[in-house]
Amino acid sequence: MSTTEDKTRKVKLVTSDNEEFEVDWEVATRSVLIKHMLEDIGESEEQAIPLPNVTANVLKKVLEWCEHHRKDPEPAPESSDDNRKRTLEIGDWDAKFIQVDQEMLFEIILAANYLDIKALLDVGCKTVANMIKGKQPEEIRKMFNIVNDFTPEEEAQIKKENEWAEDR
Amino acid sequence: MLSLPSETLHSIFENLIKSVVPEEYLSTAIALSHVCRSFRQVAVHCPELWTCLKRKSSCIELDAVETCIERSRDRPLDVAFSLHPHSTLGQDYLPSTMAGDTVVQALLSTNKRWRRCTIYLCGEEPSSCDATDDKLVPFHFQTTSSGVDAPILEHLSFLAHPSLTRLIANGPRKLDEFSPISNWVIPNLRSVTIQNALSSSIPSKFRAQLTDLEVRVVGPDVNVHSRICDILEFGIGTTSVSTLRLSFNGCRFNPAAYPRPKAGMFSSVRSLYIEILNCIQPGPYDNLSTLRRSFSGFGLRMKGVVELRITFDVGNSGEENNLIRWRGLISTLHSLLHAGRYTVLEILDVTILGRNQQENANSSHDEQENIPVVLLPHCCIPSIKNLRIETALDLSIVGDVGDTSISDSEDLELLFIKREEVLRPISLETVTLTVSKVKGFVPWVRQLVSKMRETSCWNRFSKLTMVRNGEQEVIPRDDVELWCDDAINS
Repeated sequence: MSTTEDKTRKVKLVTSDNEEFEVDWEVATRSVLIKHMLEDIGESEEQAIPLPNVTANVLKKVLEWCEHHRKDPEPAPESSDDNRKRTLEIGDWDAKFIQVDQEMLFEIILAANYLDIKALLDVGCKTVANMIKGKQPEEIRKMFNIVNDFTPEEEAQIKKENEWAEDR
Repeated sequence: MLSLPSETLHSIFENLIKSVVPEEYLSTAIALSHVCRSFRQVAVHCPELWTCLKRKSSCIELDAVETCIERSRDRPLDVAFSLHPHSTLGQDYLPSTMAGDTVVQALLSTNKRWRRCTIYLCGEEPSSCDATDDKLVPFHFQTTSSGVDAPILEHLSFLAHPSLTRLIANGPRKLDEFSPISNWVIPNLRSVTIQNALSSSIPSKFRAQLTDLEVRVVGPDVNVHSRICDILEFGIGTTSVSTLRLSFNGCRFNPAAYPRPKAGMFSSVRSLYIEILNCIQPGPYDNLSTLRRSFSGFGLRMKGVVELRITFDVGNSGEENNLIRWRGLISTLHSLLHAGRYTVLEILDVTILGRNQQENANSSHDEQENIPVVLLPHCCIPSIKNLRIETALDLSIVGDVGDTSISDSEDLELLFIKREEVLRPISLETVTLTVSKVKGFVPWVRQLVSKMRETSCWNRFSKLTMVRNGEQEVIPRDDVELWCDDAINS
């Protein structure tokens, strides 16, 4: 539970390339990782939070998302029974936000994963899922520059499995 | 891509699989597992990908089914059985054949994990697996599956191919007696879809536990009216169905046949969906009476319906489409609403489609001619508070037929329409139009304003919302008339 004092508090974040960002507590704590680190260090405003796995250009982008979603309620825990009818739709703002090149898209996903920002990770995963949807393996390889590294034995098994998918 | 941690890739796959229809689960799972080794590693350990199991024929599917059962671990399953009634024609069925069907046995062994189950009665479709032994016949299945105990089964689909319509009534062992779930233990069944099959396939003992019912009537050979009676009679014994979906696609409405339904009531229904697509009415019959009589009294049998969603197409000007056109006006909406006599309806949601996909995608009617005109009297259902109309077509809408020059005062249909035009208080609070062409709707909106003013209920109205090309414009009550002027001038 955040207090009024927390909401006016500033937080310093330091990226892997040594750039320092000063942001509102409410924005920074969209990240569960940062929130826990702040709880660990207590009231010390001076102490910067190191983020060795995130570069400045990626953190800037992630903080843009956190700023926009700073007032969002905490995401409810997902029920395993209630997740059947999920769509890949994302909100208009998020859709524009995530219109970045492929490298940045994966950097954002990695950062969201590392910083534990579930809603942003969800936006990234849905975006990639949308890119993959309906595509054949060769098309997916081409899209993401993935090498087919199956052994001949695995290829034989794959050939057999392909028959399962045929709609007879 | 390869640098993504496996748990993230897992999450991407989970998102993807939940967005596709169950029929595409296996092909999606296989595609993902065939990209590269890291994809495959994640895919085979992502149980959700492998939760849809089908039995079409026993040819080569055992491997697939067993693999899916293993990879899906303990997750709830979607299972589907395709049965072949034509294989029983002219021969007795042999229970021993079923006993040896290892695919069926494998699927039945997972019954504790079934969440959705589909039983599909196939038509005479060409198959790469033509051996009679491989075709599962309905009464074999009924015998072998009689002990099913599916404690988490929520949804059951009972689908029959349109070509089976005659067989259902006249087969060597009548298919309307086919009710494979009679002895199943399915305490959590809540939702049922029936396509071209009779409601008797769902034993009455399960009816009290249903909350959702969908009935699809597909193909020209089905007697639409007896199906409607069947649906209404299904209402007897249902006490908790809150959502009823009715879909008629490619049907031939025969105005000569109107069996009377027994006094079935769906008093618990709150949301009713009616879809009429690609339907025709052969012969020189009158359209309004056919649709009106088909849906007569729905609102009386479903007294609690507060939300009605109607989807229909505008057909074309061919003679066979006189089901939905009356003197050039598309009268489907009028017929359904007039016949329904809904008393507490508050939400009316209308989607108007073209008769083919291309028409829906890019309507390009000539500006002056061939623009479909839909009839929707403003006072048709006075209780409606929220109206939404969505169409990608260029079309126009009229609230009444006006002072026509029609002199045939004995025209019953005209009298029915005129009855709807009688001025009475209207409860509309919001109107939302998601349309490509605004102009066709402005006269209707103007008439609405005029009628609501005349009956002193304009102050009930809150806002008109126009949605075009994804952009939304909200016009508050006081600006609606000004907006109409601007829309006409622009």
